[in-house]
Amino acid sequence: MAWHELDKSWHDTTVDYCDVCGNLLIARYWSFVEPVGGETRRCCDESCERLFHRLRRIEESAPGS
Amino acid sequence: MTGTPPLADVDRVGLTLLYKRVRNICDEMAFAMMRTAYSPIFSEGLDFSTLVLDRRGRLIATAGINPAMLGASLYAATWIIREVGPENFAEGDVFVHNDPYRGGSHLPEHMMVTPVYRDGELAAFVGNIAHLAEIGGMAPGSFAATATDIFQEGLRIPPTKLFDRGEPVRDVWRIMLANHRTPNNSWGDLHAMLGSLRVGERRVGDLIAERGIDGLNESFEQILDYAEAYMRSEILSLPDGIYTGEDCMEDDGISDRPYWIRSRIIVEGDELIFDYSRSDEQAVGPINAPYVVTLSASLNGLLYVLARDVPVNAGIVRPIKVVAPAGTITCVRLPGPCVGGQTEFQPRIMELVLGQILSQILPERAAAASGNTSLNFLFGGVDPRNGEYYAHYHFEGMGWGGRATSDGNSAQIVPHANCRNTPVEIFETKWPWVHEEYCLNDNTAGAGRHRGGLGVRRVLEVAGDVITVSALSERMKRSPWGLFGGREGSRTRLEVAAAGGEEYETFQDAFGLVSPSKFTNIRLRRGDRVRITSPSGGGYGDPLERDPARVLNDVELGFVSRGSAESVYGVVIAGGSATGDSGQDGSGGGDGAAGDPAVDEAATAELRRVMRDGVA
Amino acid sequence: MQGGWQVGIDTGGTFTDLVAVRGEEQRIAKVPSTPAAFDQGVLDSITAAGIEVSEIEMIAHGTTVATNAVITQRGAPTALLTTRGFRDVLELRRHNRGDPYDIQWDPPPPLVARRNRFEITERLDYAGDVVTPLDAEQVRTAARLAARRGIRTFAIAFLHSYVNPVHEAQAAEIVAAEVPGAFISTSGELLREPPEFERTSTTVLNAYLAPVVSDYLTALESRLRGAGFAGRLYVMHSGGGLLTVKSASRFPARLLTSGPAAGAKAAEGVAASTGVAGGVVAAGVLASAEGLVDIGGTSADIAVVQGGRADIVHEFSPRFGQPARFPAIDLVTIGAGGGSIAWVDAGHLPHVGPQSAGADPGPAAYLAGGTDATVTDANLVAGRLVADVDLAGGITLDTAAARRAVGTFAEELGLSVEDAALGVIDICNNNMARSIRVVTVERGLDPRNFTLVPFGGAGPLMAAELADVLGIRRIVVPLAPGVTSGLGCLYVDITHDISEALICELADADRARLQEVFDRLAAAMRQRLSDDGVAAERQRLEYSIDLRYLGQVRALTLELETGAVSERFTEEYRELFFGEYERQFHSVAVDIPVEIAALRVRGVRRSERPHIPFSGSTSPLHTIERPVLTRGGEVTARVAERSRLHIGSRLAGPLVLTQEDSTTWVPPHWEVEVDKLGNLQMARSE
Ligand SMILES: [Zn+2]
Repeated sequence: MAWHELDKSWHDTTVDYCDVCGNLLIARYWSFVEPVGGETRRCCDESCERLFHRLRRIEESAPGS
Repeated sequence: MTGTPPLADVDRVGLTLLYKRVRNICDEMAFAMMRTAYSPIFSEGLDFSTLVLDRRGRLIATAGINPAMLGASLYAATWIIREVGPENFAEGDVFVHNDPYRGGSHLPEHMMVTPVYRDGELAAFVGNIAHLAEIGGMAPGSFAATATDIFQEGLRIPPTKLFDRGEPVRDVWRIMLANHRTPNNSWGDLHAMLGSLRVGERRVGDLIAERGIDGLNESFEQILDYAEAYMRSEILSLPDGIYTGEDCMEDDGISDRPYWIRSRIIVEGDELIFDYSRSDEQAVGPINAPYVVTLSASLNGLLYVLARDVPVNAGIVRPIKVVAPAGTITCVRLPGPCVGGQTEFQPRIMELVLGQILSQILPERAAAASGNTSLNFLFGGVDPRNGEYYAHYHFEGMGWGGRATSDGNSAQIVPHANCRNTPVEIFETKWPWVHEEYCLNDNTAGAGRHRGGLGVRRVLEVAGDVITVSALSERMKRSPWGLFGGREGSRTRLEVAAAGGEEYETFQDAFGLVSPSKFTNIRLRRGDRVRITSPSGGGYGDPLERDPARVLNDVELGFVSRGSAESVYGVVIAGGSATGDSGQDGSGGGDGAAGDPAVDEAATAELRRVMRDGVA
Repeated sequence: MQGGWQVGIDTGGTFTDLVAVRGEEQRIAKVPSTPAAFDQGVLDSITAAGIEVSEIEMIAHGTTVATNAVITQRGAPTALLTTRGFRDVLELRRHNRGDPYDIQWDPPPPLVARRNRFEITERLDYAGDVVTPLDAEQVRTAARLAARRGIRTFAIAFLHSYVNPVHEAQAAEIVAAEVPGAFISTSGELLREPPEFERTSTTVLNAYLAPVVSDYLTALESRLRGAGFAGRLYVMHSGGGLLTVKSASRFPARLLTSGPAAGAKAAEGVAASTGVAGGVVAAGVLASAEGLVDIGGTSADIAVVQGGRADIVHEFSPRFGQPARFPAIDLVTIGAGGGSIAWVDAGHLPHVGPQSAGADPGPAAYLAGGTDATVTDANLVAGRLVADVDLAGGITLDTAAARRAVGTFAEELGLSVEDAALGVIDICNNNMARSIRVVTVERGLDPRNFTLVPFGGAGPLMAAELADVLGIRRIVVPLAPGVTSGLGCLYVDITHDISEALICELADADRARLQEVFDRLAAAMRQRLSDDGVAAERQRLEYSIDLRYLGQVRALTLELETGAVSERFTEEYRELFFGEYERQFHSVAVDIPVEIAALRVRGVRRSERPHIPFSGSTSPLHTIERPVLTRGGEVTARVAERSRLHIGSRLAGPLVLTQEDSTTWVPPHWEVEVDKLGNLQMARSE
């Protein structure tokens, strides 16, 4: 649950994506730990972390919809 | 929404005035681009957008000429600016970029962005996006339908300086032009883009002079807040719920399998989520969408039915999330190819959102499926008339889907774009082709209470020694769907007849291709003929509910045959000629001995009853 | 008919305006138009002006009859002959739509139903060479079949006929022989330019309108003759010139913006005449550039006059997807006028127009059932319109109703009624300013160097603050702003335009070939002018050329001094092109070849502009005082009748000048002077 710098050398022309929404990560990213499984996720910002929990909640209340 | 109305403490009259001025700047930039362009795709096709952004690189206004560029307009410049860092810009710099992994829609679309300074301080940015007709790659016209990675699609440029403090960076120019097949054309079109930036720079400069840097950027912030509030109030008017739909890309040009797009829209209060996470993995061929293309399609689907007057800027996405995980067909990862994502995938998602999902909430504003392919047909070669190399990117209009209160329109460009066709007289003057026919494709519209619009048929003969052709299209295996009981429309066809022969066969059969709709670098010779048939739209509502007078009219104009009038619409027509289309042979309505054709009311009522109830 | 009346009459959708002059006499009239038979309104206006028909020497007539026929789809049943395989060109259009975000948008229905579009076997290639000869028998069959269907009007448009019209001419002869008395329009006769859709659309519009326009003009002329009219009758065309009745019947699609074009010509005339009469300073200012705004009830037409002339464009579309490619005065029309409605959108921002309360119910202040706040209501609340004055058409204004309507709008915004009224005025001005920028800034012109000439009932009310938005410092309010289109008809003369596509690199241009085309166009033009009865010594020909960078699609039109292609032509026009390109687009490349796209010739009958007499009042000026709202707070303004002003009167704002057909608002920082011609010359005081 913190901001991190995306450290890329100038000759690295690849890009990274938000684990939640798929949007591009630029310069820095927000990370959080999944409550279930304990995996670390990289995402756009806090709003994508909230989105992650919200989608999980929807999934639990209405599976497969 | 919360208790305090948005913009409560703001001079709202002043804000309206300012926003209109910024829009006006975008219009002026677009006008300059159109007037000075070299490629018909700019000046005739109008395949470009112009942008004004705040000092942080957020989109404030755009001239909405091509809706397909909405996603790129919202994010591409923002991302360039963040990647480069605003502090690393200098007055007179112009950055160019076409990287689909960084906010571009596909490689041919180039974005330019330039900072606007006042007294050495960064104040705003202006930019534009335009489709260059030729940028290299494995096929002339840079629409490589059989590409399996992005390196085959053309020259990829990450954010790169084209001008450094007002001076052209010649090495970059030379690399770009050396990799394009028609560099003179690129040179001209890139200068049309630069001219448009200069217009924007001057006008935004005037605004800064009037309001100061901070004053202007504060007002920009308010414009974003306003768009956000607008969008939230529109979303709030939709009932909460989860709405789902799915459709597919029929193949990727590499293997014969569909790729499914599974979409759900989650409406909660004044916020909305588009979730594509259950879609198929990314394809091997070039039908994948970069993130911004999925975003564009989702927003356009929404904006075609909601919030039609909302100012299109970075504010409208605040209450909206688009979930398109990287590695799925909805968000391509390096080195996945994606040139067809913009033209084929984007309209598919847009109609999925608009026709299948939003029709559950707002049936009166929805439409059945359109032909929904850009029908990209690319060709290039050496013109025997002057010995020069040429390349062209051709697209075709098609039938649109029936609507709640009216038929679908015929011969319109794919719904997520608004480009114009290239006229026959321009076509034949610029390139060695001769047209045999260019007309509406009769008797193909999806039947319905409101029928689909008709597609187009174009027959061309090669008038040069050799022309190399490629195609990237869709809707050859699956028809445009109908809505609320309306029937399917008709499919795309791409056919060829060898010189001297009368028989047409599909390109797939003639050349042993994997895909009928996606192929590259087929060499045609003088006298060979190509027949391009675009799809017709799906119908809306039960065809048996269509007003018989309108069926009669369609028969008289030749759009619907007498046979279909009976078998599909249950309308019996008496009198006139048997063939329906009056044409010029004199056999048609009102000119022969059989008298005017008319609806036989009694027979029609009986036939419709039988068709409905299934009892004779 | 020496010394008879010169009469300008413009028939609009709602009103018919008349301005007439004879020596030192002058008359104006404004009467309701009569859409069932527009000629009635024309005669009514003459009667209302108190003029004897037999004393009229010349009538110049602007008319909405063509536009009306297109909009209501009441043109003649028309047949279209096309190249085989291309009968749907008209319906395929250009594939784009009028509104990219509106899936409910519909294109206009084609003016020729598909069953009356006939395919003829014939073909030319891109160079105009015959590939397949014309099948004469098919033309005959089509003509007969169309005739059996009761069609007497034919449009003929074949592919590549702009290069070589030979097949169209042959087909026209055959149709004429088969269907005696048929009206036939060929695309090559109207427009020698690609592409096929625009040319076909132009040809079809022309044919479709021919019987309607011809019948109307014939009826009008015979009624006038019956009433003793012995003078000449001319019709105003969109390009700002006159046509004889005969030519108007042959080129009826040229009448599509007849009325607004008359307004633009009035601005030319006002500018030129004040320039002459106003002395050195005025001439200096007015010679550079002048503008025009015509603000009526529901929409405003905006045109630019430069160097004494209104700008010309080469295409006008009555509706999106229905182009007519004839030179037309460059008009931008926006939904902004006294009736424009103020509203608040879902994002809580205020807007004005384009929806209008129109004439019925009209603004809330009309007390005719309207409840929406309009620009007129806002002006009434702000004190710039005066409630207790009778307006043209017998309307009076009710201030309480206006306050109620503006009050509702104010509540939505959380503003006072006064601030809301000023907001409506500001937004309306800004909308118009945006359109004025389209025709100035986008063309590389600086509006600050312009003089604003406001027309229409609401124009002079809004002009000063509109000028403030644009940085304009001078305004000329004409004598009778409400009947300006009628006035404009007096300021024009017989004008024809023809052109021919000629595509080649400027550097390689064969001087002899250019000269040959210009000579051929000139000869055709002299013939047209002679057909209209213009004597050779009064014919003036103007030459121009369309240039672009090699590979570009759009071109710039540059004028030539004479029709003689000089030896230095190539170098000279290359430089002129670079200069104009730089001015319009702020960039220029000297290393890309320049290409010729088309040659143009305009033919004009040379004549003098009429003198519009004005004497001014000699009785003392009487004013009352009243409060008026401005952005700087409430001010006390003087109110006077405009007709009581003397020639040379100079007054400072704040001032409200009333007249029957208009009200002029002079804000505190403006002053006004009445010139010898009766125009109000307004200038910012600081
Ligand atoms: Zn994210």
